[in-house]
This record gives sequence, C-alpha cells and structure tokens, in this order.
Amino acid sequence: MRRFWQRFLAYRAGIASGGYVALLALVALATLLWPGLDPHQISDAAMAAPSLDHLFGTDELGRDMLLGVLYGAQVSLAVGVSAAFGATLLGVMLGAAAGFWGGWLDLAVMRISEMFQVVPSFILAAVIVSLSGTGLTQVVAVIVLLAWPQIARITRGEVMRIKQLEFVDAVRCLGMREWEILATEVVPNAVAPVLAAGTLVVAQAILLEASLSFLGLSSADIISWGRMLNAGQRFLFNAWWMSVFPGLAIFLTVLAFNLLGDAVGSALNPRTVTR
Amino acid sequence: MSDPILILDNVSKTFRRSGGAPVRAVNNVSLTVGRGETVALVGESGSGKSTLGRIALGLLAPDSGRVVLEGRSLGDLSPGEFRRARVAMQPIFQDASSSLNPRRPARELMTQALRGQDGASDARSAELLDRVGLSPGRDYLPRFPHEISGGQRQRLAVARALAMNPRLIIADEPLSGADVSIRGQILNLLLDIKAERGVAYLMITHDISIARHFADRVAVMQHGVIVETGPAEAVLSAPTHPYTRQLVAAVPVLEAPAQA
Amino acid sequence: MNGNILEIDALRLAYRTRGTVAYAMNGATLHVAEGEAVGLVGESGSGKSTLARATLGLIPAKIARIESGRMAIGGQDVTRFTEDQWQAIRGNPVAMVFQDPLSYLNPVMRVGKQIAESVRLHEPRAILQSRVEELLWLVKLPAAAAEAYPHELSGGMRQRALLAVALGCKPKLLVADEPTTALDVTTQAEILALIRELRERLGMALLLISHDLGIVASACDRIYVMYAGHTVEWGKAADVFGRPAHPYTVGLLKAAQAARNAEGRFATIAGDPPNLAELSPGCPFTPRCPLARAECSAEMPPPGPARNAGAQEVRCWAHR
Repeated sequence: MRRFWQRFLAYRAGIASGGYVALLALVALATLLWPGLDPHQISDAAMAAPSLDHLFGTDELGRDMLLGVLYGAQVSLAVGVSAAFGATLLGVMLGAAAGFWGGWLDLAVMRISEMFQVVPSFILAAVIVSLSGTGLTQVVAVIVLLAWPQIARITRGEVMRIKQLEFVDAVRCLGMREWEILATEVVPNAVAPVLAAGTLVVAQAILLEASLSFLGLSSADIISWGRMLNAGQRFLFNAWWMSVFPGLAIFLTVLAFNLLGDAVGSALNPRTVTR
Repeated sequence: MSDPILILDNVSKTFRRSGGAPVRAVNNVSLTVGRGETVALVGESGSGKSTLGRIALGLLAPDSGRVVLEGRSLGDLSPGEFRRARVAMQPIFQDASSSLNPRRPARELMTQALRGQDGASDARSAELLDRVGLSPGRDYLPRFPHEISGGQRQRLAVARALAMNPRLIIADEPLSGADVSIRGQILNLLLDIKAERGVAYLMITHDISIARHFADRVAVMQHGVIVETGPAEAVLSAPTHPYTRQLVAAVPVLEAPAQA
Repeated sequence: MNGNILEIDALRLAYRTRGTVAYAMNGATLHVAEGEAVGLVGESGSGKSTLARATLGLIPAKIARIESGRMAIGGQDVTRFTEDQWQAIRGNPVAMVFQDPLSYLNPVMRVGKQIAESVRLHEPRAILQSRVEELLWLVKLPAAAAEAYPHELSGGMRQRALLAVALGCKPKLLVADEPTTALDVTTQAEILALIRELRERLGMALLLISHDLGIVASACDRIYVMYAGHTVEWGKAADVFGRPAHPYTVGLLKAAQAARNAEGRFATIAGDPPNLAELSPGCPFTPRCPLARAECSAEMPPPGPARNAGAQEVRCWAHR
C-alpha cells in the first residue's frame, strides 16, 4: 500500500487531479450541509455580469451562477460516482464469471457486451431517457447499462490471466469451492486495471449526464451543469458567463477524472517505474 | 505396495491447439505410488511429466483412464466428494512466488488451509511455520511472500501443504527455483516430514541426481510414455532403456572433492 | 598464450535505486588469458551476471556506476569507456551469448541474414554467402537453417544460431552467460561439446558463467567462485573443485552432489543467499560460515594462497 502512494504521488497529474476531485467532493458536501444557502434564491439583478457581489454573474432569473456551479457539483458527483459504482459492480460480476468459467457463459456475456459497444451510446441514452423519464435515477441506470461492457471486458481479460497462475491451483487443492476461488483469490488480484477503468467511467458518466441535461433530457428542477449550459446557450452572446462557468466546471471535472484514472492505473501497476 | 495411495491407470491426455496438430502429452500411462513411498518422475521438458502431475492432482481431467486416490476413482466422485477427497494430496510447485497469492500475508495463507479444522489458530499456524524452519513462526505470520527469501517462500508453501495433513505430496520441480546451496535444506525438510508423518511423495523433476538420491523408485518419461521404471538407484546407475542411458550420460559429472 | 584478453581487478560496481545501494561487484577480480577457458560460478545475487554484462559494457549507465577498480580488454583500459567506445569493441574482440537466445535474435529476420549482418560489421570485404555457410557448418546447423526465422528453430538450434552470430564477429573472447540453463540436459551436453570444439578450432578464449558446477567443471581450465560481489576463490579447475579451500566452495560442492551423507541427510549451507543491499564490511559469507571467527565480520581478507589445498588463491581468514 505504501508503494501505491509513492507511485501515485510520483505521478504529478495524479496529485493535481486527486486534489481537484477531493475539493469538488468537499464543495458538494458543503453545499449539502450548509444551512441557509439557496441556489434558487432570486436576486433583483438578472443576467448581471460577474462582479464582486456575484463572482460568476447571475442567470436570466437573477440566480447566482457561482452558487449554481457549486451546487451542480452535487449532481455531477452523485451521478458520476453512483453510475461508475454500478457499472463496475455489474461489469466485474459478469466479466469475472465469463473469464473464469468460459464456455457458453463467456460467449453470451461477450456477445451482449459487444451489442452495447457497437450501438452509438449517446443516441441510445437519449432514446432510453426520453422513453423512461428524466429523473437522475434513469440517467444513472442508462450510464450503468452503457458502461458495464468495458469493465466486463477488462475484468474478463485479467481473470483469464490470473486463473492460470499456480496459486489458484494451490488453493483449489486446499478444497476451496470454485466461486470462492473466483471471489477471494482471483478478483482481488484483478482490481488494479478495473479500478482505473472505473474511474474513467466517472468522467464518462458526468459528461453523459451533462449532455443529456444540455439537450433538456433531465428534469428542470435539478441544478446541474448541463442544465445550466442548456439555459445559457440562449443568451450566449449577451451573457457569456452563463455558459462559460458551467462549461469550465464540466471540462475540468471530466479532465480530472480522466487523469485520475490514468494515475490510479499506473500507481497500481507494479511494473511502473518511478523516477 | 499392497495398498497404494495413488494409482494412475492407463491415463491419456491430448491437447488440441488451434491451427496446430494435436499433441499427445500423456499416452496410456500407468503409475502407482505406495503409501509412504517416494517416487520420482523424471523427464525432459515436453515429456509430459508436468501434465501427468496435474492429472494426478485432479487439476486436469484425463481424456481416458482413471486416477485412483486412496481406493476411490476421482472421476466417479461428485464435485463435493471430490473436493473433500483431494485434500489428501497437496502440491508443491516450482516457484513459491507464483504458488502463493502475492496479496496475502503468511497468516492468511495458513488460515486458508487450516480453515474448517479443529484447533485452527495463529498458534497452530506458527507451530507449522516453526516446523518447516521458519522460526519463530509467529514473526513470519505478518510477512508477505515477496518479503521473504526464495528458500523461505518454498518453506512457507510446504507449511501450508502440511496444514492439510496430506498423505501424498506431489512436488513439481520444487527445487528448480532454489539456489544450489539451499536445495539441501528443502530436501532434508521433505525427508523429515516423511519420517514423521509417513507421507508419500511423487516428485516431478528433470534433475537426475536429485531423483537418484531422494526417491525410492523412479519412472522415466519420454514423449508422453513411461519408458523405464524401477528402484531409483538401480535404474539411474545402470539404466537399461537407451533414453535413460542418454539422459544419465548427459549430466555433467562433478567428482567428489578430496576432503581437506 | 602470454597476455590477458580480459583483466578485471578489484572492481566495485554499485546499483543505486531510490535510496538503496547494492554492490553487485565488490572488489571482483578475474583474468582470462588468450585462448583460455575460464569458468565463473555463483548463485543468485552473487553478481556473476553483472560481471558478464560489464565485460560488454552492457551495464545500465543511469543506475550503475563503477566506483573503483579497473577493467581491461585486450590490454586496453575500458573502465571509463563511453557507449560509442563500447560499440567499437562489442563483437570483436568480445562477443556474448545469453541464456535465452530468443530475446537476442531478431524475431522477424531470417537467421542467415542475422549472421551475415554480424559478419558484414566486422569483415566488410568478406564474401558473405560463403562466410554464413561456413559459420552454420561450424555450429553444426544445416544450411537450410539460414532461411528459418528464430521461432521456427528448437531451443538448442537457436543457441547454435546465436553462437554463429557471435562467431561472425571473430571474437577473441566469448562470454557465455548461462548458455544452457534453459535447455534440456541432452541438448545442454551437445551445446557444451560444441563450445569446447569451437574453442579448440578457433583458439578463442571463453568465459563461461553458470550456477551449475558440473557444467563449469566439464568445460573450463580455470574456475572463479563468486559470492556476494566478491571473487572468493580461483585457480585450476582440478584445484578448486578437487581440493576446495573456501568454506563456501566446500559447501557448494557438497550441495551440488545432491548425495546423502552417512546419516541420510543432504548437504546444505545454512542460512540464505546474501542480500547485496545489506552487506557488512567483513566477509559476506560470515553468517553462513562454519569456520567464522572474530576477524571475519570486521574485514574482507586479501587474496592469498590456500593452505592444505591446491595451488589456488582464496579470500578467507581461515587461510591467512
């Protein structure tokens, strides 16, 4: 574990992105717990440019953009993390079983995952959400459905490699059951690349949520960066701040999770040499 | 020999590679290991000796033939019966750095084996570690496989196999990864265990001199077939099969030094 | 036969990686005379492979450094050679064959072409076709092997091909690092016989590095025994293996016999091989040595003649 941190910290982008994500989580938590702050509160200055009163300006109803962007972190993180968690859980279970037992199970899981990978994911997401309703739960479910195949494929590959190692045969000779071998011996040795891929799913999920919201495929009473962009596009030429700040938040957050995924991947890889 | 612990009865295994000709790794081989007997299976790479070892361990199903462990044919057992029966034989592999899960410390590796037995505890684990020369055993419990030397790792693997109270230990090249100077340590340990517990050994090795001095009986394997078998000393000092002769002649001779 | 093709004197070489310093060579001394066959035996962590690689300048310059001592090849001091200077002497006068030929042969080039390349580098005016044929004949490969790719050959044939590439440079010294370790015993015997024959035919010197005492004993005139970065004993093979002086050599020889003593025990050396990153100033064998005494852990003894043994040199306080 100490080696992990050494390698992780040696990776500078890892520190920066990790710090950013930690800050974002803190902001989300603060907005959740801070009493008396209401992002829906309307001031008398609508579409005011950034000033000392409103650092990010205000929107067409006079709501403070800074507060909105800070509150948006809640949605982005919640959607991103829960979708990544769900996709990883589903992908690991299916991929591990497919890689370990092979045969028809492997064939079935791989064909299904290919189906999801060849369909243009954004269009599928838009169709599903517009049919099933625009709540956050639906958005998360759609992302889970779209993202599990990539986790499953990585898990499957790792499991197929690890199941051939001698220590697996050794515990088999101790009389351990097959599912137990898979769960306690094989899968824990496959976490590194899976965790890295799972972190990347967070970024994809945040982007997808923002895209759906931007198209108006999310409920209007939720404050999210995508939703704010959607509102801002109508005033792009007379209130640039309504688009730029939420856009910047999406950009930075997606970038951070991507870098974090890379850093986690190389930090968990014992073959990575640090200088 | 009246009551063998392991009988391999006319066992065959063919591997089919995609795009290649099928390989008959093991071809109608029969081999018996008596209770408390040490049998060496000698051969070069590609002779099928490791495949035969995996079949004996129940890790690979033979295409035909039977594996009989303590009078019970493994192929006839239900999965549950098979799991309970197989613990009577334990493997020791060539390289303990790959036969021990790198993420588990010695304590967990030992607990995995002792689980479900009466008296499973850290004290019992430490006792077993002491037994294989990792003493004081308690100090080794928190160590991970990569934190101890190669020789110590192989001892840990032996301790874990012992935790199952095996009647047969199948060792596949257990000394190939060890330095010459510590090979004797491992061999002496295996001898002691045999003396104490009466376990039988099936030792798979390419090393003629180890087979000769460690085993009671030897079986020489070539191209998936056992070509010669008999008492180790007799077979390896006066081989009759041309292949055994060739094998013995190829070992570079190191004459015993005059004692200073 | 006068003059040494290789001279290594009291060479200290350290690997530095993130706070740890490991002396892979800690005052190693080794000489190879022209035309002579010298064996170097040692276990894992003895530094023998580092020594082998150092003779071709194949030490990673970023983390390894020669701290003291001297190395000369064909009378030329190479201790501080740059990569360009090394490039000029690799192949001729020193060439090397390795344990795993597959990783040193180009997988996508036919064997004959690879042999031709090495010939062309060192004999620009040679008639390539006939030289390649001659080299294949020397290593006893069929002429058709020239048209094969490395993966199409067996392990023994690959090692022959690698030998042909090395011989294409007309080396005066062939360094062979565990050349037969990956091979079966019968193939190993063939390769060792071939190396012996080539040496006699071409008058080339050999430095054979192995953990297997039997191999070295059968192929070499003189032997060096290496332990924890030190050469601890050296002399004629008959002396070192016939009347060993250093307690490590004595123990190693007994262990290598794999024979049992009167009590039915296998010979062994107590303890574990040394960790090169945790060495004391004294003799590194002290913790495992049956003859250890007070001065052993204080200082490494200088080389000197062995007592009650053959005519070899030994670094051991028990012999001072």
